[in-house]
Amino acid sequence: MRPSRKHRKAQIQMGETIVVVFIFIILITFGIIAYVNQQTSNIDEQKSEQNGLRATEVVLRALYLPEIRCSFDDVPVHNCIDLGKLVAFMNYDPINDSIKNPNGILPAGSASRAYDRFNAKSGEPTPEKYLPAYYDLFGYATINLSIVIPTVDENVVFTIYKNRPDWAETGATRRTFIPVSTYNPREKEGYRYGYGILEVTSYYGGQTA
Amino acid sequence: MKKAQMEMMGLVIIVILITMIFLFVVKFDISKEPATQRKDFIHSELAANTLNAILKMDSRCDKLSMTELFQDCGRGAPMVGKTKVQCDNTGSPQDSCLAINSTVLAILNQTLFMQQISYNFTVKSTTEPDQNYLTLSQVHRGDSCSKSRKTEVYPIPLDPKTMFVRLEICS
Repeated sequence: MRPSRKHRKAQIQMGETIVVVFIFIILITFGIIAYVNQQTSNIDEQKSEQNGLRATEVVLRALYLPEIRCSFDDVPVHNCIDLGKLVAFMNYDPINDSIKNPNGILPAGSASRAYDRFNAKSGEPTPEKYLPAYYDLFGYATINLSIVIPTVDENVVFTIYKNRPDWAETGATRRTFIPVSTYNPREKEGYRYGYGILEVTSYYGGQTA
Repeated sequence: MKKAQMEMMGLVIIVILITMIFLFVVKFDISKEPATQRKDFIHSELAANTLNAILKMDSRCDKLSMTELFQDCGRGAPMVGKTKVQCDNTGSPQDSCLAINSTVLAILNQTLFMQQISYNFTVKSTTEPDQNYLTLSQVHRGDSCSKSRKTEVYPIPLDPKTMFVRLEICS
């Protein structure tokens, strides 16, 4: 049976409506996809910004750590690390509340040794025992102080804090370095004040640094 | 106006609206600048701390600090009753300006330049603003020191002028 003229017109209008709805759905879908992509990129940016701020916080905490910061008559000195305090800090055993080597080891001008309490020998306090006290401050990070001047051969490196997670290889890292003055109270002549680099590496779980 | 023309007008309005929204979103997205607070902060800290540490450091010349060495360099030729400091670190005597040059260059190259950071280091005085006592500059390819930089200036008092030690960290 042939459809009447009225029916044909209705079918055409129905077809038009279907095409319009179809195009509308396609447009909406494209819009949603673009919006989701945009949001994902925004979240990544915000995450990166937050990680950056956290890394900066860690740098400042390390720079102003009272345990190692220079002070004279209880007046702290900006941007200065006291090597005498640093050695005592690195030799401090929080379990027994004692300093392992009270006389400490201060780098002489020509010495080029690395000081790393986190490479503990058997019987010595292990890194894990130090971590709870400073984890809240530094989280997953490695903090090194390299003495640039005075040195002759290669830089002297102090590892102040080291908490490198297992997933550090796959995660993102942020490396920040800040020049500092180093003060060696035992030096009578020559470089009492030297030049060092405080290097902070912060680790993050995601791929976004 | 016929019905078909009305429909056409409606379609045109919808297309214009969609295009405007699209252009607005694209413009908003492009004009949004990436967050640079951390980089700015780190670079300004870097400039301030580098200068601070250099000036506080002891030199190997007559047990003087670097600030005192800068002062000696700024006084220029030997003055009446004052002899310019002679540094003898390497076996060959250097005057204070040369000693500063070699020390600062070594420090900045070992620290900033090795970390892919370009810098300009200049020392000027108030009496000769056009003349630099010292100019050290290392700029990596692709870096522009004229557009974005963090500058730190430390004044060192001389009698009767003032010396300005300036470090620019280029972004």
